[in-house]
Amino acid sequence: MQAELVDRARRGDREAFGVLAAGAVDRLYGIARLVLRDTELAEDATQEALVRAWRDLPTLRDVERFDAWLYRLIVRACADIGRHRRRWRAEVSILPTEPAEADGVAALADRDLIERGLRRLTVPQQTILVMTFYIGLSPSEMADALEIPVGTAKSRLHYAIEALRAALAADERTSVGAAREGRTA
Amino acid sequence: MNANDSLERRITDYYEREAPPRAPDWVLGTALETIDTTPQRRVLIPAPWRSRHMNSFAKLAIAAVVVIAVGVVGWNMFAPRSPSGVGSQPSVSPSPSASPSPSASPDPSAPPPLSETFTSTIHGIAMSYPAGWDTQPATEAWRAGFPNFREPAGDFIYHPTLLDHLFFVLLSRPLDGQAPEAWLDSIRSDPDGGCADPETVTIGASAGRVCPAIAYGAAGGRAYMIRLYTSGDEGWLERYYDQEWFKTVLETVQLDPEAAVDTPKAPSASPSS
Repeated sequence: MQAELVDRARRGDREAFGVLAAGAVDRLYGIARLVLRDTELAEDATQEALVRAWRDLPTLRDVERFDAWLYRLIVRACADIGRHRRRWRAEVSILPTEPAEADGVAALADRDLIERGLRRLTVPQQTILVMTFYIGLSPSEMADALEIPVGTAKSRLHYAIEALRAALAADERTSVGAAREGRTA
Repeated sequence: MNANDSLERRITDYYEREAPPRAPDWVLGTALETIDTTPQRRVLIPAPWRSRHMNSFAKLAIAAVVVIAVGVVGWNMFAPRSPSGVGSQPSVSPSPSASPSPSASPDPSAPPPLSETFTSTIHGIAMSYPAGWDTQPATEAWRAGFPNFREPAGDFIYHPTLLDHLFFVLLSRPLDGQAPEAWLDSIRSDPDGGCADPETVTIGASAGRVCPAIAYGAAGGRAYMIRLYTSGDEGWLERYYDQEWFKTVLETVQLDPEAAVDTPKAPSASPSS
């Protein structure tokens, strides 16, 4: 079904592309928002990826690889928008968090810790984590989507996790230091 | 559960919680409005590597279109014209030999001089290219096959207006244990431009093979591939950018395998296993 839609869209059928876009937009937006950590930039990246998808669809060789190709486009759009605006670190907007009725205080604190750690990562590091832990791609699927060797995908994932671990440790050291200063003051 | 599992679970939980459930409606709406006025990229006659599965009917249809187009062009050129308007003259015994380039193509001129030099930052190769052409360096390693036009695995050197209708792509990767001769001979079975009888040439002071528009080289444990692509949409191109010209360009190639940059090897302890 999707392959047929992709084939029609590839031959210029805007209606078919509209169906594909409607089915993908939420996923793309989710990726962009988690990677860029900014609502406005994520909206721009999602639109950019969809327009690029339409424009370049005739160059897609294998309709079965549409999803992986789309992931590649949203990743590139995030990278381009991030590069051009250079806002993801300086002007990050806090993602709205729903009231944590069912969550304990500890879980909320842990998410806050992860949030701060992720903010310290680069966009490529965020990308690899989002593709793995949000989309659920395996290293080989990620390699396919990003057009990189599987070994590179594994290594990027490894270093992204290590970077996050280091960021969390640094955050913890800062918190402990601040607490000590508070006690001695 | 080890520390890795714990952190991975925490990241997953975080994303599950923080991911927006839906994109704002206007995001899709605005994108589709833009698409309404956005043309798709032209791939009228796809690159050979995109047309492996073209069926016989499609080939016949394209051949028919070409025959009709040639007929129309020929009729317009050689059919007797009735005088119309001041100063118009009926053509006198037009001869094909008097018209060196009977084509509706844009500016079918000879290639510019090879006065520019491109040096790859990824593939360990340098090459002269025509004046005025544009370049896009590779930013990612190449694994196999041909990248699409201006995809990151290839160094692209392309005509400034014909773009994906006339370009070079330069690629290299480690031989990974394959014998150089075996690599060079594999050009014979390359479905994307290989030929049964490749010519033996020297590429960058090393042995190489060349078919009409593709060349294989090997040096310092690396496999090199250089392709000149001319689109079938611009039939006149092959008259100027032919194998002889391609070989002229190949004579300028310098291979520097030590300058090639490959992606780092995966760490010994895989994080996902």
